[in-house]
Amino acid sequence: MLSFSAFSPGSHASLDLMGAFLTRGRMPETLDIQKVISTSTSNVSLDDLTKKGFKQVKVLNQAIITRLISEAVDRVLFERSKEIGKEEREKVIKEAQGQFETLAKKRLEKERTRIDELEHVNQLLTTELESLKRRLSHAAESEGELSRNAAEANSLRERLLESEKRMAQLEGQLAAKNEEIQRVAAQAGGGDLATEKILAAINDRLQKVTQPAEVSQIMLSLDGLSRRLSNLSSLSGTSSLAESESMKDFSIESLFAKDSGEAIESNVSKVKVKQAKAGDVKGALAKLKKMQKGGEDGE
Amino acid sequence: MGNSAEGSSTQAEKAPSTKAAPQGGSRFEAGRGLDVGTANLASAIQDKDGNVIIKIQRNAFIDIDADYYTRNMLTKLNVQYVSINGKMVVVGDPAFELANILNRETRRPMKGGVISPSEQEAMPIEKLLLENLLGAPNYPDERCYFSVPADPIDADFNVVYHKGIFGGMLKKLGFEPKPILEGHAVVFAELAEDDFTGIGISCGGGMFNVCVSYKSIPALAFSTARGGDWIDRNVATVLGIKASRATAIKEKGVNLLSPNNREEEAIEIYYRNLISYTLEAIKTRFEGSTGMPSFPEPIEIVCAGGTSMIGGFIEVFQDEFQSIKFPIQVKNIRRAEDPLFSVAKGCLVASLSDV
Repeated sequence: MLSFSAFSPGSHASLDLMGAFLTRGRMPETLDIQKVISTSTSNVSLDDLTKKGFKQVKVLNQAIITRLISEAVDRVLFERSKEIGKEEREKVIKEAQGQFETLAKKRLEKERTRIDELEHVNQLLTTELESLKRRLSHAAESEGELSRNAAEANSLRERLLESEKRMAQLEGQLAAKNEEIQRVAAQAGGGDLATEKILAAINDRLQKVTQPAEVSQIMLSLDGLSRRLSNLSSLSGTSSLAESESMKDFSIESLFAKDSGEAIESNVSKVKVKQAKAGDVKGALAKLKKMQKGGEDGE
Repeated sequence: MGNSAEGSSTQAEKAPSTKAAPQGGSRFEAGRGLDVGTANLASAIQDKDGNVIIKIQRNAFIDIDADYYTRNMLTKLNVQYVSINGKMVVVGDPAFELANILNRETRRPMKGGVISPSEQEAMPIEKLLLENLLGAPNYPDERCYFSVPADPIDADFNVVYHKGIFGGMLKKLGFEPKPILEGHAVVFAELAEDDFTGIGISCGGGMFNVCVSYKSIPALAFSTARGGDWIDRNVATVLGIKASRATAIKEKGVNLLSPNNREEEAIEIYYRNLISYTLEAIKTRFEGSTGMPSFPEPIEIVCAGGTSMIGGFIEVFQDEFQSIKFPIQVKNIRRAEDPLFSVAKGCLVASLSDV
């Protein structure tokens, strides 16, 4: 069956559509004429039209409909623009500007508040970071000190044990030598003056061999080590004079032993050392000498 | 000692410009002062006109690979080297500069104020440096007062051993060695106006040495094992750099009151901590010790040493001082007249006054 889509420009649907364009104040980006025609028309068969007495119908193509709509819209817009006066336009512009400024202000305030909050959080985090860095550094330092102390304590304990072993050996040797002396003395009968002198000399030599060079040094060293160990355990932090003296003896020897053993080549004496003139010390010297003599200032 | 100002008596006689003194043939007074510092060695001597001459040498070295050409160049460039057991070491300030260029650490004969236990092989070098600084004695058995640290309150090491080693070296060079506490030397150099009454603090590289003195007599003396090196180490740790680099940043001219970047801020933080730590230590020791003098008048605190030379040091010190309840009335806190030479000058005063 052949049917027509009837469209009348003044129909209800087409007016609604145009009204919608005008109310919104702008044309939609694309106008689907096909769809508009389809939704705004109804299908009527030729028979029905004949029955209704229509013998002739006007036929409009899509291009004409589109042109008509466009012309109608342009006409309406043109008429409307005439109605809006200069004052009204300025009023609308002013209101629009006011509205825009209010919105912008609100938005700006909101952003500022947000920035303040972020800065505050940032500051807190920076402070916390600094504090953590400091704590980390202190912790690392303490840990280092503890491990150094522990290592030193272990080393000293080992040395102490070695020294004790060595001392026990030397004491054994000393006891054996003493026994030998006594045995020789007993064999000699103990009455002869010359024998006594010989024995005294042997004894003296034995003492020289064992005592100062080995036993006494080890004894001193053990004393020193014991003190250092006790110092470390109690964390008293100071060292005793005797301990230091005992260690000094060994180290000074080792220091100057290098003078003879090692060949040192140097240009130190050929190179100029930094030299400066400092403020004089005459006043301080005079005052100190006066005080030493028990003058007014020293009394 | 061709370049030595004090030199030997022979040198003094040879030099035509020097005024030959009738006694002993020297233009210098009898008596030397020697600051044995972790960072620097400094000697002091007084000529007959009363001028004090200081010679200073950075107490550091670095080993390098070197051939014959390098050796010659080092001498031409005025760089001191020592070749020992086949190893070539550059000593003094150039060692420090080389360490920064090569991104390495300098080796230090001393650590924490005393001879470093891990650098025993440095002792012959140390002896050469001392010889170069002091020269030969101008008089037989000329007295040389040398600085020693006081017993530390926060470390376990051997001050007497250190004292013995340096005494031995000086004796070997022909001097009559006499030890003096570092803080006490500061009192001798800086507090004459106050009858040598007050607190002298030597802020050194290895430690801070404190001496509370009354009429030139030390009433309390101790040291803390924290100094400029402690700051450098910590700054280096937090910034992930070498300690030598941290020293270079510190010495290029930082002001603690206005740090300009992250490095300077780190330096400021550790300086402040170190000063606060030292003040607390003085307070605790003073309150805990018996027989402390009661000072009738407010006293002066004077800070010396290379670590006190940084900009804003005294202001930060005063700031930290305000925040603790110090047990002694203090009228003034100030930096020494010659911070870097103060200890050497104090040793010299002790030496010249020892009759």
